Amino acid sequence: MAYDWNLPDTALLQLNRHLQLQDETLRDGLQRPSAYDPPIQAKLEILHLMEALGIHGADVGLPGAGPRAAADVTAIVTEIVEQKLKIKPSCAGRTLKVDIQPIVDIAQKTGKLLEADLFIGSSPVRQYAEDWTLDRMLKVTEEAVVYAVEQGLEVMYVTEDTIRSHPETLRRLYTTAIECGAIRICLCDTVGHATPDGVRALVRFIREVVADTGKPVKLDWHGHRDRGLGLANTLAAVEVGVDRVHGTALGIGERVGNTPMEHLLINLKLLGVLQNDLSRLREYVGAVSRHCRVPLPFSWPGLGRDAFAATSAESAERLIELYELGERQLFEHTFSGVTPALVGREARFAVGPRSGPANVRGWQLQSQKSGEIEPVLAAARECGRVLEPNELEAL
Amino acid sequence: MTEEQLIYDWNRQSAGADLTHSLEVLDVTMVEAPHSPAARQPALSERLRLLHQLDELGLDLVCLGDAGEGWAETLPLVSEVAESRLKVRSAVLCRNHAAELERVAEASEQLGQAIHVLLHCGYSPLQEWKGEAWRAARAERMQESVMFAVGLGLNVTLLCPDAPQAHPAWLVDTLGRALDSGARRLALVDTTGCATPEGVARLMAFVIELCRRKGMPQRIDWFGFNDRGLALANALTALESGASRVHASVLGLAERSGCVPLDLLLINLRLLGALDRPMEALASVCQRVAETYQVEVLSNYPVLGKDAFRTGTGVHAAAIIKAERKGFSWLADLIYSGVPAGQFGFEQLIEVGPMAGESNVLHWLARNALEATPERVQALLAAAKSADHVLSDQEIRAALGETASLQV
Repeated sequence: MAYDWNLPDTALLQLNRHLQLQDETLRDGLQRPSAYDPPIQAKLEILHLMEALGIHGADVGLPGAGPRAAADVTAIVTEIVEQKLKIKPSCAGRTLKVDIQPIVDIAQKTGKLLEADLFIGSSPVRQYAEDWTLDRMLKVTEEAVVYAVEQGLEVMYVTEDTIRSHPETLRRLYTTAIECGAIRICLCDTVGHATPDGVRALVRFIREVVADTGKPVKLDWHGHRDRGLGLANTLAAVEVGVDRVHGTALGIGERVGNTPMEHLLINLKLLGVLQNDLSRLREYVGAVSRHCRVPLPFSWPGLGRDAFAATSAESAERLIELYELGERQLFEHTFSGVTPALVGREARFAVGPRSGPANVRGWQLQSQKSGEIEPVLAAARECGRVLEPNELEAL
Repeated sequence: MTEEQLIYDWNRQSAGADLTHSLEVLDVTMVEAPHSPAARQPALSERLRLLHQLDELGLDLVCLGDAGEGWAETLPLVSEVAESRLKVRSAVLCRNHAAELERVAEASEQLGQAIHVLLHCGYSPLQEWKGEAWRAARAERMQESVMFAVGLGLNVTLLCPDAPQAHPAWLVDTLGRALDSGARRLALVDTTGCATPEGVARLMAFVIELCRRKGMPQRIDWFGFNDRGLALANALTALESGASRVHASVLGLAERSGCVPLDLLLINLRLLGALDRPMEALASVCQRVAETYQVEVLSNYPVLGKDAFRTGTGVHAAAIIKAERKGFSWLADLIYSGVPAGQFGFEQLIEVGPMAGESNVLHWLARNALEATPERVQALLAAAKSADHVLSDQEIRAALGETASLQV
């Protein structure tokens, strides 16, 4: 078999701890401008699929946004309690009592210990626009965290736009939040500005800040994909030792979205960091696509319609012999960096205008058909695009 | 107040990134996009028009097709580059066939313009199961082809497939043969999209050392597929690790899950300060590619998608509006955006949806020259909070229209 330049991934293999995943689909995900906020039954279906995939936590909403949001969050937390789900719920809110109180109310009503993910803008650009002083931000932080902790909530303190924030501002904000009782802090690339190098530099610095407090505080990473680097950034955060990383199904989220949870799961499994069963990954992505009315792109890695389709003559030529020999493992390995079986799929031969005889032969073998090859290729050239399975059958 | 004063950039706090060397971009849209199962095949006239648009991006090279069965489609494009005196240089894919190399050499001579040859290696480390004799024969043929092409005066880049899965000894043998035979450049290809950035960095370091030991200049290309969702990050890592040229396709159009997206590569290089090219034409070129191949630019495609600079969230909208009030347009463009919309011909859009606050509503009313009466604000907020999606202008007007006193 092949030599793997990716492994051993020394940084990842040195991690002697359990990485956790936080699903933001039902909060940040629903902030995607094109997404629909689905009805509660759909949210519960998505919640159960998160559980089936072994996702550890879910941000289930921002109850301070209004009565509908509060009602949905209550229903989701109730479901977790009644169905004895392992997934840990958390709720988002600003570092304001007006946002914290609805979380407290839901915790009391459901009897479930809730994590409050309390956020504050921390970058100089935000401070300038809002006319905030650091003293004011520290005061707001202190009041909010103390209040939430007193009310029995677990607090994750979230600094928005951390990747563009000054180190000393971050040190003072985090130190204050931790001293007031936050047990988790979240570094955010709210605007999708980060590169993997930036993530590493930031996480290393914040780990020192946390160490200086002497408290066993956990570290989260939350990233967006405005530059197309959301996944790579999150993997970089894992590499430098964060405890929990955030993602959303289909990468839905504010603007162009967040780190796609399915790609995170696939990559972490390929890297040997997680061993989760991914057989229901398609169902999870499909449910979010359907309920939030967000299309699954054809080319979406691992899950899109075309992710495992061999259309070019070159690809089919290098694959057909392996398929004919019945060397399935090597066939899949030669097909794609993500073996189709990992996500419960099969590689398929397709026929289009740039295909050759091996594509047709492969399609015939896979669909147990026979017949002349050249007319099929001619039809594909004439058609100018990849033929649909029913078109191939008709030929 | 300046941007530099207001942004502490952690991306620049690491010694890891080095993009100070000269780098080139080779566009492979015309050879890779047709392999996308979602794409249709454009006519020659459409490809000629696309070629002229690609030229506006200031790219270094564009791969125009192959010199085999597709030569009849490739030649008019190669001729166009020469006859229209485009700035971009031509490249053509060749296999280890003398006839293909001769065609390219002949065309190059007739047109009076160099045509770069991207030569398929002809075998892969994933084909070791075929046995040593098969590999040796293929290796010999590749070596003969490189020497033949060089003898014809062609500039050869050897495409090394499945490089991230090649055993070091395989790389030493294959790449060594290519360099010894006169190949000018080596292109490491992640054919199955299996690489991770760390893997790319290791592989690059190994190949650079190989070049150094052979006393050859370090001219390495990178090209990778997106099966794991890491094609862009891998390409940037390759450049940081010493690659001097990346192959990329507009919108990442290619087989399976696509390949390095040219547009996002250029945008990232610009944001990293490694490229100083104008980007105004980028959006229109991407739109042209989408039309030419009849594919959709997805709404969540970074920078170019419909949602890239839209927000319906109250907290975000409020911050953007406050930034606008400071009188610096760049501030509003940056406060909730990692990519400045204005640099790429776009603008920030504030919309009204279930997560909206009063700021969103006030902004919409102001944009539509409507007085923000308390009744209107209340009615719009109520409509937004009870909606399950971001409201369209039509829906907002309808919500206002339900109350006679609020009608627009």
